[in-house]
Amino acid sequence: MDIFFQQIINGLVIGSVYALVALGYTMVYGILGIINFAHGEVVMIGAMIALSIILFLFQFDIPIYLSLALVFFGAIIFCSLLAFCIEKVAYKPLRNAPRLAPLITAIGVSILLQNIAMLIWGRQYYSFPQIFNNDTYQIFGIANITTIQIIIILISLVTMFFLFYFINKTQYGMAMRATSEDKNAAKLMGIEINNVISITFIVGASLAAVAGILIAANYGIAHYSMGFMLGLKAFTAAVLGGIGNIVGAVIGGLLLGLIESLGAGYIEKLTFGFMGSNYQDVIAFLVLVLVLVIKPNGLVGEKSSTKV
Amino acid sequence: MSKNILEIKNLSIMFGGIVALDDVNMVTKKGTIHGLIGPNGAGKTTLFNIMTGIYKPTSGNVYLNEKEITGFTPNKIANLGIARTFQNIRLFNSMSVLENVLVAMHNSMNVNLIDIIFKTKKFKKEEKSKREKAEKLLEYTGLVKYINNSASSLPYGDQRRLEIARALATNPSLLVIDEPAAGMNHKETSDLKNFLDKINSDGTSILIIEHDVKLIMNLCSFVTVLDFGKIICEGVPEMVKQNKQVIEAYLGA
Amino acid sequence: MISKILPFHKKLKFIHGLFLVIIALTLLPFVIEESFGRSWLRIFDYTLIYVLLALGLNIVVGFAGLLDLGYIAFFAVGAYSWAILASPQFDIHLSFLVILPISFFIAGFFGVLLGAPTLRLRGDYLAIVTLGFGEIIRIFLNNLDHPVNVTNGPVGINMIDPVMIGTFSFNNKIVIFGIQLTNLHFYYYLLVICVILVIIICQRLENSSIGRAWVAIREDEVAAEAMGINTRNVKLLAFAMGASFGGVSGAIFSSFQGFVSPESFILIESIMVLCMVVLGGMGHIYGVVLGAFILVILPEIIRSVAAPIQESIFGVVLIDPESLRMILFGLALILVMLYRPTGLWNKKNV
Repeated sequence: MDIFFQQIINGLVIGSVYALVALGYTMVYGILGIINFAHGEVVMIGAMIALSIILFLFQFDIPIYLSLALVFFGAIIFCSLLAFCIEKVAYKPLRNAPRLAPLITAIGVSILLQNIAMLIWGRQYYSFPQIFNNDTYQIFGIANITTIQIIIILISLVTMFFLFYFINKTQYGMAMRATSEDKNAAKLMGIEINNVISITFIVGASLAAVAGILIAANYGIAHYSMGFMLGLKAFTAAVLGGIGNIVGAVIGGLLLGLIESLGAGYIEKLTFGFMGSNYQDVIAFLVLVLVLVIKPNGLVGEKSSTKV
Repeated sequence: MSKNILEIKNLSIMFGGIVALDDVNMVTKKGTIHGLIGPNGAGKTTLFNIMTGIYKPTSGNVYLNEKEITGFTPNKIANLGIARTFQNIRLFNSMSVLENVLVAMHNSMNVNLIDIIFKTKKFKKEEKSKREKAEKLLEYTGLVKYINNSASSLPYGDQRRLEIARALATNPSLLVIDEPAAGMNHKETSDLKNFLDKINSDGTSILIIEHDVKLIMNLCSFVTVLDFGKIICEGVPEMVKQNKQVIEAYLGA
Repeated sequence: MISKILPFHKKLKFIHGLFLVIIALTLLPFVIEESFGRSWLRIFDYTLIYVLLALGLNIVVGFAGLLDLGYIAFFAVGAYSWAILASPQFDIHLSFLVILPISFFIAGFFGVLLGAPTLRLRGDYLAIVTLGFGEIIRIFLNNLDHPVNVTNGPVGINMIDPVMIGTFSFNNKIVIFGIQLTNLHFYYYLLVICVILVIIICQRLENSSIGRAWVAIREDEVAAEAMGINTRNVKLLAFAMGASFGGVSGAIFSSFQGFVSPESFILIESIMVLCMVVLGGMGHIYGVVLGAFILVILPEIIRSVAAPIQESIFGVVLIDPESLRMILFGLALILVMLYRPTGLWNKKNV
């Protein structure tokens, strides 16, 4: 019980980041039916760009809120452009190719992004600057929460709120939902599929940029290899909730964060000392394997029916 | 000789909230050609899919030769003696005509991994004998001239024939065919009728879904009519053709 | 009369050709060493190991159409089997004739373990699950140094025994007719023999009922099942066989390199092997061999000329060879998929 609530808090924090990234995976899968392997690297690029912007702005005397806005918008715009280009170059030509083809190009893009990032930013681990004081607050005396963690949860909630509004209450959102249900029918309704797909990627990339900044702020570190594991885990979260399902992505993300956090906290006790918290990453993969084997359509469920 | 090769009892299946088949009872007598007709969406292919193990029914039973096969896996049912073709032709396109037939003989191949890896005499003998059998089957079905061509290169009518030949290669007691005459002209349909008659008189019971009324009349000794998941009429073709409900179902009230 | 002579003639030609190939293969390591140096013979040996891997994965991905992104895990299992059973780690020193079959079966066992619950998943999901499995294996290998030290953790196991035939160790150097033979040569011959054996086995599998069943499943699993094929077992067989070959390849790798660490079994390796299969034309045995050669040797060539070329043009190395290699690899993946997705060498169209 001692660490339980603390791990819950930690889990919700990391879970909201997973949710943000998972949303990107799930939206692309819902519309194109492909796993955007490169998405994790877009998260990393978001963090690195943000880092560069911050370091650049440090030279000037700019009010905090302005620099924050610049950082977020800068990263979002850059990542959106990046994702837009990736889709046009690597995925669009392969829309009618067998499934394996876009998966491999995605892997190729992922490798490219990682290595180019390494060339630009080098191999070192950058400490992500603290923009404001990171205080710790006590909740009911049973757990701590830091300013950064509160900010992460808040920004995630706000972002998700905007996303849900966009998807459910705007024309664009409706077009996206229609396209993911039935591409051809949507085309016949006059929806410009290419635009919808581009928007999907841009929205996903914006979420990724935000997630990248939040994660870098949470751990205080930015590194060219930070996208890989995060991407895999976020994909796990998307599958956990039911790939293609937006609500599922959020639930999956939060749930995975909780499972991972509680697992890391208790793993030593659970395995009688055999496994320690260094096995933390295994938890995500085990969850993935178990979910896919037991409930392949995820918790919330993915619509899938093929006519025989 | 009125043994039932296929018996379907109180079969129902639901997809989500939709009742696709509602308490269907049907019997196919051994040695006959039994037609299954009905408007699009009536549930005919769904019935086939349940019979061949692709779907599991919500309730009800399927019997083959009076033995229960409800809920068995497709490959088990195929091994017990039901072979099928598909509404949209599902040949193995990258394989040759011969290979398509050979694949269907997979289970009667009497070889194990060791035989294959060491290319034993037994392996060579089995391959040779199966290839000869396959070739004979292709002769029987009039496709031997295409023997080494790729399945996808065949003309449409012959592709349908190949699907049937492939199904026959599993040595079935019941052949279940889904709309084989779709897209065929008069001559092709007539050839198909003769072909199916031949197969039937050589001992294979046939259950056939078709929209071509003339073909059904000429081919089948018994017809079942399905509409909205329910059986609305059953009997000899002449009688079914004149049944009011059947006419309404096809033409609308 | 003529029909009696012709087959004999063909047979003679075949034996003649075979003889030439055998001579060429026997002399090849010396030619490589003389022309390009010892390091390139070592690279060639590593290439042969990758050829084995590619052939194994070809059964899974190429024949049966099962997407495996974690194949290197079986390589790792085989490698660590040898490392644990023939090194100072536990001071066990079994002979290679014993360990090779053991690594074959252990890797095959892991193949069945992974495959049994997951092979019914469809394409992309299977890919991700296998990827996860590969990572799980790597993490375990990295951490199984406590409470009981099985794998020696991130440091890995070294001083692994080489292959021994009787008292003759592959690490010995001998001199014949003035030419020095080292472990590079001995492993070369071992690997060439293994590659030839595996190719023969794969060809026999391909032209059997199993091979046809794999293609049928790859083309249309529903139709295959309707023809009576037990798709689950047939897929499991492909998976297990591929895993077993990966395991054997790993065992030889382990003894050749003399040390293993979890770093050799990261995701990019699985991806690399997959690309060898895709590049070669999935299912095409010789194409896959070619794919392996291209994807190992080309980067090595890049690595050795990248720095000098950049220096002569720019005066300084802008992009280090390793990064350049990876960037070119990423680009190649994208370009090949866009322009030549069926691989460099197409399977014969029937």
